Amino acid sequence: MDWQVIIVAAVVIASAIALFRHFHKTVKKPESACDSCSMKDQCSIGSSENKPQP
Amino acid sequence: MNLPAHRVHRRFRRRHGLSGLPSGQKFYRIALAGNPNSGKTSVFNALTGQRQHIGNYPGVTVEKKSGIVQIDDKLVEFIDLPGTYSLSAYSLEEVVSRDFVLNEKPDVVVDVLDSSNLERHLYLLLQFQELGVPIVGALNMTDEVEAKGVKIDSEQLSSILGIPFVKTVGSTGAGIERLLEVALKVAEGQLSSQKRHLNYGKQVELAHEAIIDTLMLDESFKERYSLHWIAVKLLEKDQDAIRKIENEHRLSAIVLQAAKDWRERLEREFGEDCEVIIGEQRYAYIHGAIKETVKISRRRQVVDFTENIDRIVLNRFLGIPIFLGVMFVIYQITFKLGNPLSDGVSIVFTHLSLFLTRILPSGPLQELLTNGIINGVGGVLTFLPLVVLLFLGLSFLEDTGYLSRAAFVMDKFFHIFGLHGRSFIPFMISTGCAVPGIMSARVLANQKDRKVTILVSPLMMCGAKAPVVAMLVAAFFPDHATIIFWSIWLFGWLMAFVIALIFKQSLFRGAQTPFVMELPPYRLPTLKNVFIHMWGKSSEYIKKAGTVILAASIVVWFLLSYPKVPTRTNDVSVENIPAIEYSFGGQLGKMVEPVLRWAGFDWKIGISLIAGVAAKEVIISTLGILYGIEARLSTDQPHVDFMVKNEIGKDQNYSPLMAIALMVFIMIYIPCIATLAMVKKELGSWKWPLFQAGYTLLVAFIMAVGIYQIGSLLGLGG
Repeated sequence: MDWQVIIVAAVVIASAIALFRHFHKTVKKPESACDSCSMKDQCSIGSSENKPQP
Repeated sequence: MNLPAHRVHRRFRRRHGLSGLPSGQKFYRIALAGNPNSGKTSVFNALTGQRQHIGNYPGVTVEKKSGIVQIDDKLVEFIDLPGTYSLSAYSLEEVVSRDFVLNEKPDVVVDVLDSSNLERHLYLLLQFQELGVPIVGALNMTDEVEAKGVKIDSEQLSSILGIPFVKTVGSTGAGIERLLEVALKVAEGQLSSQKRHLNYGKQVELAHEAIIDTLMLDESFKERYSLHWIAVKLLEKDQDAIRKIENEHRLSAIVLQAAKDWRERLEREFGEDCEVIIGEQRYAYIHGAIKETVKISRRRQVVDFTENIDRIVLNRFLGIPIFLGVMFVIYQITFKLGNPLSDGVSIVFTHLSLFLTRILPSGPLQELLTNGIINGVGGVLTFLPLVVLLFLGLSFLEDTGYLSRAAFVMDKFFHIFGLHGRSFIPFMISTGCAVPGIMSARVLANQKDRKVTILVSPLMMCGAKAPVVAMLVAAFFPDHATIIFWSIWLFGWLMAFVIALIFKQSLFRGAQTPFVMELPPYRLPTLKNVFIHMWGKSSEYIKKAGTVILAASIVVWFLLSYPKVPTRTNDVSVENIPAIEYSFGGQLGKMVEPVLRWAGFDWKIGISLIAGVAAKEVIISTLGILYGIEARLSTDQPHVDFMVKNEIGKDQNYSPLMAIALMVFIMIYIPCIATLAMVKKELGSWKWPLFQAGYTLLVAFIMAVGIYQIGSLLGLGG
């Protein structure tokens, strides 16, 4: 099998899994969407990254 | 307070999942409370060294947040409670703050008070004092008050109220160390913070004592709550206190009957609601305390900058036009500065694509990198300058304090459509992202108002829809970009109002509640803040493009590239299908095309709209990939124009009329997955997000078809 096909297949599968995991996490914990929001610095409502850590 | 070591360990481990505290270490919990916009979050940041966002409009803190700091041998947890005007259980933030203080019993409550508005802010402090918790008052923003020639005698105030007061300036950190020192002394019992019972006058006191007598009939209840506070709350007819009695007092019927009888007697005697009688008494006490401790220098000429501007921007007739004008100016700046920068970003991607084509042999990997990743992610990233400038403008408005004014002037307008004035906060936050916008709807005390706000907030133009609309505007209306973009933004608001009105007239009928919006003083944002905002927005947009959008682009590219048309087949109908239409994505797009045709959309738009449910920016990346694949199929060359706007603008199948219908569709149709999940979380059932997805899809389709068909009949479709 062509090496390009193998790389592409791996990348596509990894992306599909990553996307599925992302949406699974979003459905379970929707406020996680705030972590990648452009207005994160503007709003402290949902982002867990904004939350102070011990 | 020194907790026994085992309790410290247990508490700390439970909260933070850590292995425990070193032996001998003391652990204290300090809650930060205060009215909305009292500068509480800035004091919290100064105390903890965190960078929570500080909003110059009320309602920024909806949930409590905490931060832990090590101070010498002490470990201190600071809890930032939501801003509240009182401790009555009217809204969720009041309940959150009150329940925390009642149930979690922090060692100290630091009440952050806006020194320029002491009368109202002391009202909350008095309620905390009645609750019987150790309290320290932080007289915040004293710099602003002193600049106006107002002097507060904090020592005198301390002796009158029996509570330590410390002057602070949260934004600069002045007085924070002293505040911490005093709070810790109170926590350790070295400094007293008196529990004080305010005298409400002879008749009220009589009623109060009688209710306490009935409350004392249950010994266990007596141990759990401050009876004095519960008695006052029962006289105020506080629903939460009544529920507590019903659920936790052994002789609840006797207590509630006594409270009811006394309440009715007082109301007969005073001719006023009991809550008003008690509230007036508190204010009278505060008024006296302020008279004794606040001195205004007559020599100093006070020029109130804020009042002068407010006279114009809060004008009954000018207020709304000014708000619309301000937004127009923001969009004008965004397009004027952003478009050339956007073109510059596309040049970078063009060179990157050409470089990859040169170094990689042709094949699926080269196609994935150029058509999939660069066209998809690059297409989204070209809008980075526009998005950053747009939200920088909104940040500026918020930081200056103008957004609160906008909420104030919009209040009447909100009421016309059956919405509560406070709905402005979720609406405005939704212009960044609907997810926190929906969470912030908790500021609405009335559940019907909250549900309506949650259901219509995603109709705002969010940070993900903005680049898609900007792309269509730049492609079809390059000479009128600002006015069209502004109109679409306004359309989102109007749709939210109209749909809210329909909901309020049908599904969520109910009385409206009054709205009190705090108007903070105008503040000029610092240059440092502007750069922090700019960096924050750019990095998050790039991060999103490099993660979710990247993964989605790769998957979309695969779905639009495979399966390939068989080279050897006997089926003539298959042979004649264009390769892209033979792909999974192409077939799906073709399936929905007959319906979407009514709105002027073809299968390419159809597949982009389906992909856009994941995240609206994916609409751009899908279109970028589609044009990339098409270009390669027709010329066998990599696609080098990463401005999707150029491609879509040149497409013969599309017209400006279709673009309008498409922008309207995108503004309304199904919110993204994150938004739907948040609606489920906030309203507790999947029925609401499903209803939201259904109604938005239906309304979007009807609107888009209506615009396209009527426009075509009028000859605008060419």
